[in-house]
Amino acid sequence: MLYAIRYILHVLRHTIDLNRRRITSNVQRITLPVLMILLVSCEVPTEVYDNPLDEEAAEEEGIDTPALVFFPDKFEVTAGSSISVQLYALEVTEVAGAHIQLAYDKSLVSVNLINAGDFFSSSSGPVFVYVDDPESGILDIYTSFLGSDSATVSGTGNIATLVLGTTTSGESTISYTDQSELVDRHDNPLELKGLGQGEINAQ
Amino acid sequence: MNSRKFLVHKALFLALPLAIIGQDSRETVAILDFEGRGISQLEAQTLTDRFRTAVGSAGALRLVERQMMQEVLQEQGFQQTGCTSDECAVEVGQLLGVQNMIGGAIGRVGRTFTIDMRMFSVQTGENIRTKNVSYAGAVDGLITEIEILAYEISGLKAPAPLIAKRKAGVPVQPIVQAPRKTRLGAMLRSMFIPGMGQFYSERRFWGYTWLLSELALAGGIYTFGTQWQTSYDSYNSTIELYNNETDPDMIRGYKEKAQGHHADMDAAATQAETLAYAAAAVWAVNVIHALITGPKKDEDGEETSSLSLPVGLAFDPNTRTTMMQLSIPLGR
Repeated sequence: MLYAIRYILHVLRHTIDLNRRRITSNVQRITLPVLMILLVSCEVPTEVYDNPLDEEAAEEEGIDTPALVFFPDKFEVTAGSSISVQLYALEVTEVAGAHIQLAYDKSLVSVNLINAGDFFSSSSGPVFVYVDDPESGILDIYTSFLGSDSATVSGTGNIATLVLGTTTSGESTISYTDQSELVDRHDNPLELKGLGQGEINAQ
Repeated sequence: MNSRKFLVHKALFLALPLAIIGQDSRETVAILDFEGRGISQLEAQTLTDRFRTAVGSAGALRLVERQMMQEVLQEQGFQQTGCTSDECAVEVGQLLGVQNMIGGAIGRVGRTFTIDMRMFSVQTGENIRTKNVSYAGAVDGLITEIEILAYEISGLKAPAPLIAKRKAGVPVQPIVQAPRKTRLGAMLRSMFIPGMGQFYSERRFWGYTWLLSELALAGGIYTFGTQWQTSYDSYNSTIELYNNETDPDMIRGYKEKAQGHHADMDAAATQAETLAYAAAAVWAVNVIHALITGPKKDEDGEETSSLSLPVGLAFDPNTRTTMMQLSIPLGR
């Protein structure tokens, strides 16, 4: 008798639960779309134009042209992974060669690979020499244009591509030093108004 | 023999004033107490008295007063309550010297009452007029029916007030009063769906007005919401292209496109927001309108809605008692 009563109660509870779920399910079917309509507002995101190669955006960041910048200039990576960063000349005029000196945090970043970019490329190929001093965290790149049609290049272009390794987690920067310069055909230094900076966040 | 003589004298005595009054051409009639079947004798007698009064008021027949009837019949050893057969009624009529007799019965079956009465000629025993009525309701309502029958059995049409009273009826109120439409019910319905309260109040024009207005605004919100979504997606994809581009001319192009999409997004969001405010305002006004106007008045011009306390008196036919009741109108 007791067992029968318990069985009946169990069935009743199950039935009530089912109905509650059914009712809840139906209510959810009706209310959720209504709530979504009501609650999801038409948000307008803030306009953010921060491509480092965007001259206007660079000026807003305090980097006037002609300038040397990194592309991209922000990295969010896991510690131990590699990142590829390009060194760009931004809106330069009649450049025959460049000496680029980079400073990086040797405790967090290492230089794994350096390749020449296509800004100074020609049929003869660019002159491209680099010296990396991991002890001091300084990288020097020397490159020049050897074009047959002209002696200089102008505009925006990729001077070099670096592959950096992140050794540990942390935040660090990579930047152009004041020793960086662009020269004309006569090896006279050209005015550089802006030097960009790259931010690396390794988690 | 002596009683018969006395009776003759009595009859003459009854007839004389009638003759003196002025040769009233109306037929004379006496009314026997109605037989009660399923109701108490007291109720049957009360209804018979009311019937007599109504016949007298109708004025189509000359009515022998009950008191006079009682005296005559008592002298002759007649008991009205026992006189139910046609023969008895005819004999009574002959004793009273009237031309017509009216007799009948009032019965009750469940909640239904039946009234069967006939007027017949004392001389010929022939039925002059027969009336049968069935009535469902409280005993009180029989009074109206009896009064109407008095006119009808007299060959007259019942007056309009009586007919109207019959139509209105005696409210048979159960313990729980039937729900009536209320302003609160209309307001709650309009809160749920715009216009629903107005439909509930039978104000269809306003119901359609609010409902269609809200639907139109909802349609506008949906349209601008869709436009916003399209612009949002386009903006995001263009920004992605802008961020990954290295060619300065392409960067400029993507930037201009992204700015265009952003402007479209902003405009659509503003429009949707404006329509949302308008929809909220329409909804609020619709709720207030439902509350203020409330349900329409009934045929008698009485407000069908009430903001007063739902307490009143009701007659319970089952217990035949009057009691105070609390009614909670649920609306229809």
